[in-house]
Amino acid sequence: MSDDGKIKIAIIEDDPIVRDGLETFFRAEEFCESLCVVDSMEAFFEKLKEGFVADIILSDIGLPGMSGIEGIRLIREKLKSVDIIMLTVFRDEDRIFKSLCAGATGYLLKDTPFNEIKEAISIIRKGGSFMSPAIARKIVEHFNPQPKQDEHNLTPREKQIIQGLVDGLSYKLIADRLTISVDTIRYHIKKIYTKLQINSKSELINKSLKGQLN
Amino acid sequence: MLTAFKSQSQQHLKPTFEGLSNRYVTAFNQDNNGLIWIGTTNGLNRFDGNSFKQFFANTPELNLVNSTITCFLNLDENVFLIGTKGGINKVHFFLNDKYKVEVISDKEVTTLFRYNKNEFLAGTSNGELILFDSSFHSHTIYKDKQMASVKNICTDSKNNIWFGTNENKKIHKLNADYSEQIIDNLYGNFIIDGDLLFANFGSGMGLQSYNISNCKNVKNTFLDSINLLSKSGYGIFKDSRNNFWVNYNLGKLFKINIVNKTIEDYSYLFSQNYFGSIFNSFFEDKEGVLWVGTDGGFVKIQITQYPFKTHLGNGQKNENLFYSVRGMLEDSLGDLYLGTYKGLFHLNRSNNILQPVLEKNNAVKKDIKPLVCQMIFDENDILMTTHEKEIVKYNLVTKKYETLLENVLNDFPSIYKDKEGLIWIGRGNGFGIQIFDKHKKQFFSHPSIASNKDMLNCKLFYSISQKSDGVFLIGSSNGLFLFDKNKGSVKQYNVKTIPALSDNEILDVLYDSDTAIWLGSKGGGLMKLNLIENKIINYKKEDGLSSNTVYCILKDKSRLWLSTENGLSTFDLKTNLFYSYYDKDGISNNEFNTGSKIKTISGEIFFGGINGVTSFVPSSIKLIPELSKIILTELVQNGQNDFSNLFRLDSNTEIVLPYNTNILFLRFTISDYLRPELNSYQYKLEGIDSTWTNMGGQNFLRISNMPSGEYKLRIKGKNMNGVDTENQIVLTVLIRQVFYKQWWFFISISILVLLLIYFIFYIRIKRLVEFQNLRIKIASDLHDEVGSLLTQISILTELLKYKNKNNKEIDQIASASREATRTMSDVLWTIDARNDKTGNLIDRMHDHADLLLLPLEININFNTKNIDNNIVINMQERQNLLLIFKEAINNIAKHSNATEVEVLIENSKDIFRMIIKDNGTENKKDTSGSGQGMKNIKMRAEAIKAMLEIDKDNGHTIILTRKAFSGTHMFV
Repeated sequence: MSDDGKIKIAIIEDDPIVRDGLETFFRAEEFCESLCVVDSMEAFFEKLKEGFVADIILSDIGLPGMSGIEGIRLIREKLKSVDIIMLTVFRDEDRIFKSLCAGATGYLLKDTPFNEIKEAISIIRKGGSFMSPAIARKIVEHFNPQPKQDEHNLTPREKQIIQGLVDGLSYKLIADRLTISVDTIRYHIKKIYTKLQINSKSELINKSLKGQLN
Repeated sequence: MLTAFKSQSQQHLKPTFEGLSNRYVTAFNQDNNGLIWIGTTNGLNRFDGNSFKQFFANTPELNLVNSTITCFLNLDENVFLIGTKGGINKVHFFLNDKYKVEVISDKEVTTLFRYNKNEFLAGTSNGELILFDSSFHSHTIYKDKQMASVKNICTDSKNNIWFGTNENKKIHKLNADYSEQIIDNLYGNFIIDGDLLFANFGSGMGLQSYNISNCKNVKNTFLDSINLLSKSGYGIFKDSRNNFWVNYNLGKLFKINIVNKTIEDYSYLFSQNYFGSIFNSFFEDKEGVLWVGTDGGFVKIQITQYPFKTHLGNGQKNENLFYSVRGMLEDSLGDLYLGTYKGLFHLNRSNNILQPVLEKNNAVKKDIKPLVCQMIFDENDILMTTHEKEIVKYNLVTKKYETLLENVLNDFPSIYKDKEGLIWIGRGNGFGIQIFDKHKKQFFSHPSIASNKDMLNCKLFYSISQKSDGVFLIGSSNGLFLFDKNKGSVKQYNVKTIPALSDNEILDVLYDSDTAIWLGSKGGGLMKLNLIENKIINYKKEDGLSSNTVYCILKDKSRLWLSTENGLSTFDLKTNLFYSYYDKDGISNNEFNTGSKIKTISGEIFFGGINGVTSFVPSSIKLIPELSKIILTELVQNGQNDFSNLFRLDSNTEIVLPYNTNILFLRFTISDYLRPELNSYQYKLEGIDSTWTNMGGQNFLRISNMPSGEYKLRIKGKNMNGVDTENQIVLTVLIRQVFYKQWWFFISISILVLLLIYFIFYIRIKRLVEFQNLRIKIASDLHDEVGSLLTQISILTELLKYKNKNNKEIDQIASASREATRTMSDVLWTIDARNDKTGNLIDRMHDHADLLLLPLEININFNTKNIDNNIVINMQERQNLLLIFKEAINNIAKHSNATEVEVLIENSKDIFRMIIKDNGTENKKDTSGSGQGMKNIKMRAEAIKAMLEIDKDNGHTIILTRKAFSGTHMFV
């Protein structure tokens, strides 16, 4: 991110209409400093080699060739601090969760209104994220049965937030209950995603080796 | 001149030619199995005593180099050579269980001779003498200049080779260094016996002997006396008993014993021309049978002869000369009286002269010739019972016959003089046995017998004798009677008493002791009655007895002698073994007579039969156990003849047959070929039979329909003398189990059934999986294709909206397209098989509530109870439940002023319940469930057979109840 708050965005999307729509939108927006639009992970990696630097990557989950999930895992290895937002057609919790485990920091439905996309990017750039109750429940399941090493475990606060989400509370109600701001909740959510990714690494590699990754 | 007496003993022997490949027999051989091989001028024959198997040059089983067989030579127990006109065949018949035939020479061989352990000689038709070594390498050691064919080869004690040449009529002597010496002008078949060479010259010279060292003639007056018989010389042979067998003239065969100076004429065997007149081949087999081959067949002659004497026995050819001898008496001088159907005869034992006993000085009156049955001496008389039911007296002083009573007897009336001098006659006809007073010519009954119905009812009394204690032993047609004259008691043994006799007709009784009373029966064999143990042991033909009809019994030391209906048997009391003799052994005839026996004071035994009397000194008859072999000659399994083992059809053969068609046919023989019809066989199928089954003379066996299992088939034989064969045929017969009873079948069927079950399930699972995959595929395709399209519309609309801000229509399109996407999403979620479980449904419901209500600041309290997330709910139920829920939540979101929503979903043991409760107090629009939303809810509730309750107190409550979801629906 440059000093003026402008960001470098990459869009990885194979659907030309969606790609063009998003490109048109971002090019018109001032917060977008530079834009890289490609139709596959392979093409994106070529751009990285050419020297492109991204702050935010918007990636489709289902891509031809290397899948979005596999791609972001590799991206995450190369670019530690980049924010990755997965784009999905439907609310497909399984794949969203796998993406989060692979290194994504947020997700959006493709038909999300542009202004909401803009808002989401903004939240993420501020260090936060968002989470649906379904994802929250998956995260609870993920951490509950077999707690990993301490350093990667969820903090009490994180747990409280997750539980709030699982209980069906809105961010506002959770914020009220915990007497923290909604932004803080979003910040915690992003932290939780990071822990999720670290915890999932070995599992993911195993799954990849077994060919279960999609 | 000495006249050769005709050999009587072998009159039954008939030449054989039927079945031979050719009548001109050239050579014999016996293989290690015991079978006889007969070479002819056209074909080789394997003879098993009953039938021939023929082989020719083109017979595949034994491919001979030529069909004209000239000679044989046994090399060792496994190999024999067959000399033919086309060369020598070497038959190796124990090689790898199969025979092998090789040709080792292509010369026309006339004779083969074993020279020493490793070498043999072959004579050829062109005068060559070829020496073969053990490797069958050959070299010619002599070649006749005139190329006359080599006839017979011998060696002498100094290992000089002697041989004859045919066309130039010479006998050659080949010294050890192969230098030749010729005995000029001498020719004939010859043999070397010690230092002498015997040659059969014929032409009035007959059989001549020569000293082999100087080749000078040796005078022999005995030979000279018979040589006049000779006209032409043919074969000559010396058997193992030092008899010369000489074919003097055409059709004439003599057995000459130079030591004993005896000569026997066997020419009668060939009296008819077609039995042949030239005897060139002689062979003595392992059992001592001489095989004589002629140009018209062959004949078998027993070389072994026993010292049996015969009297009155010359009725072979003329029936008028048959003297059936019934009764015998020995007088104080040792002379014998023989009672026959042609009158009484007297045998002077000192000069062996036999004369009829005729009335003296009775020229006018016709000679009395009583048909004598049995006789006793009484004072100066011979009392005899006759077949004409009379009692006749012959006075030895007056030499006159007198008929005492007529028509008083039944058949076979026995007569006996007891220890007190009383004469007992078995009258039968309701009288039993009675005491006869010859002076009063009257019968008297003993009261005990007169009152004994069994005795009185008895028809025939064959034999009367006494135990040492005086108790009478009476053999009758109704068993054996023990009659104690003093006690007046009668005890009877017959087939119904305990112990039982094997037959009711007791022809003879011999008292040995109270533990051994020997009984001869008519059909039931020999019995030994033990009075002390009250036990009877029975011996029959299968034990070696010559016949089951035993006419007379005599005892000598430890042997019983038994005259039977078919031969003479001896029974060794120490070994319990029988040995039998037949006419071929020198007895007068095989058929003997009841009551016709006597053991003279000197110990000689006489038995009378239908053709005179046979007598012998028992101690001179040495038991010669001739051990014969039983040989399997044919084996047919289910109609397939097994030729592969032509030369080794013996034990250790395993036969495997199927369970349903098992037919086993075997043919066998005993290597005692003189009278094959007198050999007998027994078999036992171990596993089925516990005892031996007697087959009599039947030399084949057919077994079929054996149940599955493993059996041992044993066949043994007895040769004509009643001696067991030294071996048995033992075959392992394996009848396969019927396939459906075999373990592999059971296991296969089990596996098949399991596979079938697996297959059915596999198909069902596969169909389910396919169906699920189809659902997944439809969902994926719709997601990818329709979902993408909807997304594109949304994006494009969004772009339009972005470029044309505050355009209401565009806002509506954007909203509608998003709504379409969500609806589509729900449909796809329902179709997708991966969402089939309860857990997925609950999550979806929860998500929907969150998505819809949270932005409206409506709090949701979402609870579940007893929910097993893994229960599968079918697609329709799942869809209906989801849509009911969505409809209810939508209603709350759109039309109520609620701030709190409580959801409870529970699936207890019996009941599924879903409660959706809000705290809304007023309905904005669609109230009381009368609108389209509520209609949908009701319709869907019916579809899943659920009960719907709506409660409007304190807000708005929907309660859905139905039967609990349970288990998995996967396979139903």
